[in-house]
Amino acid sequence: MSNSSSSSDKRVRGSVLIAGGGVGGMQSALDLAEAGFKVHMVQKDSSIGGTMVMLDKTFPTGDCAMCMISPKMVEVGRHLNIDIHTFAEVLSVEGKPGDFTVRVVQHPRYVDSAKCTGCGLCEQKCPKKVISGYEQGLIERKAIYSLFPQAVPSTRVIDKDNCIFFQKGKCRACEKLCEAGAIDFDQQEEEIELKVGAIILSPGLDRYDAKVRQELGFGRWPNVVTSIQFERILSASGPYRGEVKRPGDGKHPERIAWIQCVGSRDRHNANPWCSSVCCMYATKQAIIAREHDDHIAPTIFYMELRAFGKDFDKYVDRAKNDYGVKYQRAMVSAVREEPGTGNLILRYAKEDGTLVDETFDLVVLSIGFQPHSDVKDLAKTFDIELNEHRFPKTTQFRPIDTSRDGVFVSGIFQSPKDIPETVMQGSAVAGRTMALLSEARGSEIVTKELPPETDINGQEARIGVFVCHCGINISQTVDVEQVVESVKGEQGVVHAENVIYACAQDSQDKIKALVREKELNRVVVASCTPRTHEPLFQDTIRDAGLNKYLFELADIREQCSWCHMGQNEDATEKAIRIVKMTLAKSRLLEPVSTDSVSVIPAAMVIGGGVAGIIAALSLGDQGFDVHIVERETELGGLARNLFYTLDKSDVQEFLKAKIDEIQAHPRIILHTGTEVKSTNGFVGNFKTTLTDGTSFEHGAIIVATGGIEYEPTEYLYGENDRVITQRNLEKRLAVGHGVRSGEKFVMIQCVGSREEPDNYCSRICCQDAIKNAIAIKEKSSDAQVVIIYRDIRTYGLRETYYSKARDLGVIFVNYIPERKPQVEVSEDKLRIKAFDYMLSRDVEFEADWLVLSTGLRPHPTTEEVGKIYKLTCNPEGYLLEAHVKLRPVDFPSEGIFLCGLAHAPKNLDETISQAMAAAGRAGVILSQDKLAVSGIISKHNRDMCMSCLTCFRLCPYGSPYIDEEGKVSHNEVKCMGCGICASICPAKAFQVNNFKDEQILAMIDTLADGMNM
Amino acid sequence: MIVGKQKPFEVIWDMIKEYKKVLIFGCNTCVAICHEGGNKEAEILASMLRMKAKQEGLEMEIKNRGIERQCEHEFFDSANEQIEWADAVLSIACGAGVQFTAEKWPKKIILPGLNTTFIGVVERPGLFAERCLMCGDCILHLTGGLCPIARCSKSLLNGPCGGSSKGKCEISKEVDCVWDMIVRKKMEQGRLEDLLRITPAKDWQTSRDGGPRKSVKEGLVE
Amino acid sequence: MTEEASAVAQEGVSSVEKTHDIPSDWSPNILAFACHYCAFAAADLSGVMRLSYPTNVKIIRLPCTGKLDHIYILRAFEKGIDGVFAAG
Repeated sequence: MSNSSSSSDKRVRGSVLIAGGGVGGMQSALDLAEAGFKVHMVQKDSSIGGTMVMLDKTFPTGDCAMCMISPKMVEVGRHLNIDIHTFAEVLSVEGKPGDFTVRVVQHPRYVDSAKCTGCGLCEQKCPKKVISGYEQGLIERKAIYSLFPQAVPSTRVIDKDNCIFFQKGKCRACEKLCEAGAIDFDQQEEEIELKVGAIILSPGLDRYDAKVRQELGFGRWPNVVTSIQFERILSASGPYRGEVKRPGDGKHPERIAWIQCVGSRDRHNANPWCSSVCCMYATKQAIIAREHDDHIAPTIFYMELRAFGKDFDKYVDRAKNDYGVKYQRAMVSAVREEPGTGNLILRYAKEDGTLVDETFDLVVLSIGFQPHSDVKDLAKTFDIELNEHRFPKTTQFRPIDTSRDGVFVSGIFQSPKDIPETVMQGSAVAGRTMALLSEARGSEIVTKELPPETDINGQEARIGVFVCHCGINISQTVDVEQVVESVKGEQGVVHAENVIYACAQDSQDKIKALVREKELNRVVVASCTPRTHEPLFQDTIRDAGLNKYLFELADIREQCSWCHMGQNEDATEKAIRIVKMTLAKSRLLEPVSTDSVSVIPAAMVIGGGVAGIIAALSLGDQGFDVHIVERETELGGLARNLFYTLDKSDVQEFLKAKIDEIQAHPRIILHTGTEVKSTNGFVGNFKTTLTDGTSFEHGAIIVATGGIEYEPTEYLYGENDRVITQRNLEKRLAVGHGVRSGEKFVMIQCVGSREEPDNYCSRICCQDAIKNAIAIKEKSSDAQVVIIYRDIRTYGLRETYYSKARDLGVIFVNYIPERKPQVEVSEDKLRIKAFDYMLSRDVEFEADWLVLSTGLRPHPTTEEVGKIYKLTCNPEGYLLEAHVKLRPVDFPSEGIFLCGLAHAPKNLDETISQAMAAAGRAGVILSQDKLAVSGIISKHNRDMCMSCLTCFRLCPYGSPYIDEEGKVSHNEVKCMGCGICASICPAKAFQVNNFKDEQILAMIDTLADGMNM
Repeated sequence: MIVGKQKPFEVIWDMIKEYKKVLIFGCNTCVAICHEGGNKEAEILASMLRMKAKQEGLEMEIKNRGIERQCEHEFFDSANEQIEWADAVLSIACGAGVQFTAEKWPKKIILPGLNTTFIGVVERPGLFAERCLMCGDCILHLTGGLCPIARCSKSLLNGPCGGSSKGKCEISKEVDCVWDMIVRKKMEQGRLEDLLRITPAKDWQTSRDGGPRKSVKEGLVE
Repeated sequence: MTEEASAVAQEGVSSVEKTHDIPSDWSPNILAFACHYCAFAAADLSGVMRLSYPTNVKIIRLPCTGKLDHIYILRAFEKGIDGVFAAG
């Protein structure tokens, strides 16, 4: 992992190019920018967001995708050290790690992003309608458009091919309407040159074209839709606003069928790999569809149910039991339309072999991922090698390194995966880059010089009110002048005026000038939503010397003019009320001082398995001191029992090399044979004491406590020497035991997994079985290998090894848990009887070896470590991350991160990615000189507090604590400002900055005062 | 800790409805911890009573206020003005607090808003359970730290009665038989023979049967 | 928390509430408390999508619905607001 970046002739730049602005690229960008690197993000689309923005909800929690990703997009969009180049592509890359020159072409938007305020009026009035690609062809958009309502940047783009002016030479309606004068038909393509130290590729993937599978009728029968179309159908912001309707006739479908593996796991007609996500998204879509309309009866036609992730099996069980989702194991051979009804007839073979025709109202094709058609050009541009499936060539041990040094990959572009793994890799490449460029950290970032803050202590409120027209977005519905008049003379208002665009540069300058000229000490802008625009105006008044928390935004666009069109009088009345409520709060606003705490630039890694080793090396290479705490005397953890991976990489060699690296690393301190006794402190400032008495200070913690292998009690294990585990077999094969010609191996999958009391998938066992089966067959092609399985879950590119095993003659027998295989011993031979569910008959095998595929369990110490840091575990004992989708290596408590098997069962390459991700996330904290405490936090009044512990027990972040005096104190560094403590405190000892009770009550009173009662 | 429970809303309303100016007076120690009588509860109760008055068409002013403890003189100073203002004060402190307030303001109408229930512990957030009967003569050293006076329905001193079944008390399956617990604990500690010693009948003189009690701390008392 | 709070509010009121005749032109004044991260965002989105709803709903933004204090709901009712909507 260490790089030769220290050689003196070599230039190292503190900036990074990220190609791709999806959720993975955004994660990398935020991590890097926060850690002191300049980021250039190049995105082909006109907005960042990628694939996730098209999704309605996410599995297995049912969270709204846009709600999660939208704040992230806003954060990326306004980060001082992230430059977004949307509608742009990389032309060429030259140079070497640390010093690349990248040429980027910026396609013309025909809208000047410096002038455009994103008000969207042009889009409303544009006369030309075009089929919307974002909405998957289900509805139309305009020729001037933003990709989706929450697009970042919000600057519109003109679709030249469909613009009436560009095609016919007249129209220019948008230009006439735009009061900001942002339309620029003369914009030309531009070329930009960027100098960066490293490159991250996260351009995402394309989706399989369902039209290729003609027998399924997509493109022919209107009520056959793709899964991504169905996402849009389910979405509240989609073409049908969340009403489940079918495109053919707008009727509400009841019988909906999902057909799995369309374009995946099919090496003859489509792609050989498994797309990893379709089984779960189909389950999610079925559940959500049922939630929208409980008349819906979903059926999912699948080959193998691949619910291999954390809590996925439980989600499928819920779909079956609580939502009545029917899972039908069958390949659908054809879809026909029933004449006259628009319904669809599906032909498939039932378990017993009989062919049936079943009628459905709507059919959803679960289409898989595939590389973009131009991936070869992209590979050429970046000079990276692709594998035979046109994915970037990576290895099990270096999952995010491409063939070119200094160029890294993440997300689905690397291989098919779901959102949390994409986010993990996003942080992993960030961590990898931080290590590569560590010496140049901070060299290219911009910081802002601010004037000193004006002391307003003791002053009466002097409020300036600015009411925005937003072009005509607000003013066509709300009488803006009347709003201005209504607040003149209100208590504390010393200035009120209307502006065309409050967010435009000239208005910002005006606000600043007025703050100084009229000595304003509070500013209220009535315009759009604080979610996107509050930070902008806060910066404006801060530039004018006011504390930024003296600003308040009144949302009279999204929450007034736009939802009350045509009701001008009532809307104006409401806008006045909203502004007066905001004024009431504004009068009571107080400056908020934001503290900061210093950071000890060292980390502690708990656990010295592969996860801990990789995390420690990454942090060490980033330039931080690292303490590894391992309870055993040796490093390596479970990997000490592993010999080779699915792609035949040598695990022991890898492990030895990494342990050598650790031992030689000047920044890594190893504590073996000891455990954590206690840790005090908080993010940036922890102090840990070990059971051997050693103690040290550190700023971050990585929990990598690992897992253990299940020791089976089933199938005569421990009673008969010929009954072994996959791990025993792997060792035999690796240390040179031959395989006799005709030797017979029978493997049983899911031993001790996917049933009570350990009802979850261990994710690794299918590939373990296939890995060993291939190894046996390669040693002796006429050895017999039978794998008795429930579902083969060789997700992603692992699927190709499943095909390979079949090609090599490995026999696969499917069993169901209700009828498990039986093992008998007769005359020194093992006999295994099973009921083959697919063939619907009993089968029997003789075996020299019975090999049990046993799963993983969390390490017993995980729970103890969890208790020390107040971390919660799921019912199976795996640690719960802060958010299953977007914060997969974080904990709710700041400064503590998670990786490896302590999080959930996973394969070695995934552990490595996650460890690098944890190191990347920890690096973000450790690279700060000072950690700024957020302004919106809860303030604790110790005089009023009687230490009842209610807050201590209920705070999700652990910020109230019992101090040295045995009383409750509040650690503001940990506080997220949710205010649960404030609302539950029986002594009223907490108040949240900017959301104080008196401020909220003043708003309530103002609302009530204005009512016609 | 002293545990209390707010009186039913209608009962409180009946007590205060004849007064024009009412102060809801919280106590911010024991009864605040059980979320019945602190500042927050005073605020909520006052608001609900104001709405009630409005619905009943009564012209009333209802305010709220709280002090650290209503059982000590000094804390009252900060609330003098509001107490003076009120026609009636609804104290939501324990019985001691209500009485102490009444003693300090002999001419005021002082009303109780809580029922003081017991001395207890916070078994888990929101669950308060009785542990002590304040008998004045502690025997916990004999019974493994489990009090049969407070926790045995019959306050038995020498083992369970015939109503103990499967570790539960005959009065309810919800109630643990404390003697069953005592015996188990003694067995675990290997000190079962402690229970062979007969505890003589309890001398209740130290309990409240001798009338209201006082306790003097020499050196502190003036 | 949200449900609990409204339950507290209702407990006090419903048991004693007197019924009144509702004038035909009456419309309720509704106050919504919305979490900054989800419900407030949803309210924004309804505007972005130009979904229309009556003007008698006003929204107060909270950092989280966990911040919704019992007294906010009570104060609203006490001041004559007809309905409180907590969303988060």
